[in-house]
Formats: sequence, structure tokens, C-alpha cells
Amino acid sequence: MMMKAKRGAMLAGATGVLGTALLFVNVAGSAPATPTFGTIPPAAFTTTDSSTRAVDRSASRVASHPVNIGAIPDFVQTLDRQGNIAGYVRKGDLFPTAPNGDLLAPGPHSVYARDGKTIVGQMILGKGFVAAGVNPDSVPSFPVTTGPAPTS
Amino acid sequence: MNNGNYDDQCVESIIADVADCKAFAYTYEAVGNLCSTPRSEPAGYIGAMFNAYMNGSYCGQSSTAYSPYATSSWVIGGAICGNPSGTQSFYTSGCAYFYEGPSYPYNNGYRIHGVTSPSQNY
Repeated sequence: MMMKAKRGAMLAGATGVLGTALLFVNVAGSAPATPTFGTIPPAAFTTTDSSTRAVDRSASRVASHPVNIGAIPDFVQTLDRQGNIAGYVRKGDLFPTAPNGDLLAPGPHSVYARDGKTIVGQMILGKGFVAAGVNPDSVPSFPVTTGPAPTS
Repeated sequence: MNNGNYDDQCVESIIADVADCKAFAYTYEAVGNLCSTPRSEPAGYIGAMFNAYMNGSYCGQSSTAYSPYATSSWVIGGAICGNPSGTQSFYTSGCAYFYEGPSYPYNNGYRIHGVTSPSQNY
């Protein structure tokens, strides 16, 4: 499954902050909805037409979501490096979107306790969960392999 | 890096092995609206990273690795979720980065949040 874009197309600069800031905005003064916590259901990972077709961003600006955002809880269960539940990350941090609807790569973000407020650690690129109070520099990076991709 | 000759950029992510998440980035010549003829780009132009999930939980994301030489394709992979005993369901999404020049914010790159391999059970 592939997507494509033309070089030269501008992707508006946005960060995960956008999704985070809008998470609990309510409408017309109504009580904010109770945030949901949990894992991402398998159905959310099912690719859709918009995520699998070729996308010409310079022309159509079609959003390309690899997941069904609406099916994802407000706070996604997050694991530490040993596979234990470390806490929860905000959906908007995990799947930040640009103003044009394009999905961006997540950056480092906080991990919360089940109350959705207490920060218990952070997710660091290349390192995963780092508990609060632990210096990320003291945590080794995930081992990864790189190289030329196979062609089909 | 935009030399006026537009090319297409494709990204793909898969789970290639047990719990091993990989993200692929490819660059192609513009041929209609399809990803087709590979087009080599200079060293440092193509980068890739991936996000990993297990049983619906988020494991984390890799760092971003850029190709150190001219190529039309690049891959990064790793088993960052571990692989505990029993049957697990893994999922990967990948991001490709295509360097566009120092005036671009956000890692000086253009990125595509790429798609998804289907969840796979092991």
C-alpha cells in the first residue's frame, strides 16, 4: 500500500499541540465529554480508500489517514519497554494533524495516568517510554536497522 | 532541493517479520498519479521512521534515519514492542521524510504519514 505526493508541495507547519489543544473543547458551553481511555480497536487500523490510494498533495490536498481517527479513544494505552502498561497518551499527540487535515508524525509527548492529568513520563523518539524523573539521556535507544528498501 | 523537476514520493510500512516493524520510503518520477519509475536522490534526502503498536497499545516510535548515500529507497526497522510469549497483534505505521531545504520547518523535511500494514498476529 502506498501513497505519494509531489515534491514541492508545502505541508503546513503544525505539531501535535494542535490536536492536544482541541481535545476537550466543548460546544456552546455544554459540559465537556468524559474522555475515553483504552487501546486502539483493530477496526481503527483498517485502511480506508483515503489512506491507500495515491495522493497528489499539491493538487487535491486529500488527507491521508492511516487509521480511523474516530475509532480511537481520547487516551491511548501506552507500553513501556518491557511491555507493561505505562500510562496513556493523548490521541491528538499520537495522531497530530495539520490544518489541512493531513496526518503528521508524532513528536515527543507526555504520558498520563488514568486521570488524564498526571504526567507519569514521556514518549521519546527512538527510546519509547521514559518515566518522570528519569533522564532520557540515560535510556538507550531502540536498536534499529536501516538500509536500502527492497523494490518489488 | 526542489530543482524544478517534480518527482513523486511514496511511503509504505509493513511488518516484515515477527514483531519487526519497518517503514519504507521511495522516490519516483512523476508518471501520472502513480508511484512508478524509481528516481535516485542525493545522500540525506530520504528518511524514514515508524510508529509501533501491539495489541492496540502504543509502543513508541523509532528515530528518523536518513540515507547516507544516493538512493531511491530507504527503510528503517526494529522490534521496539518486544515479542512476549503468546499471540500478539502488531501494527505499524510509517513516515517518510523528504528533504526540501533549510527554509522548511519541522526537521527541514516534507513528510508523509504513511500507511499501514494490516495488523498481524504472531
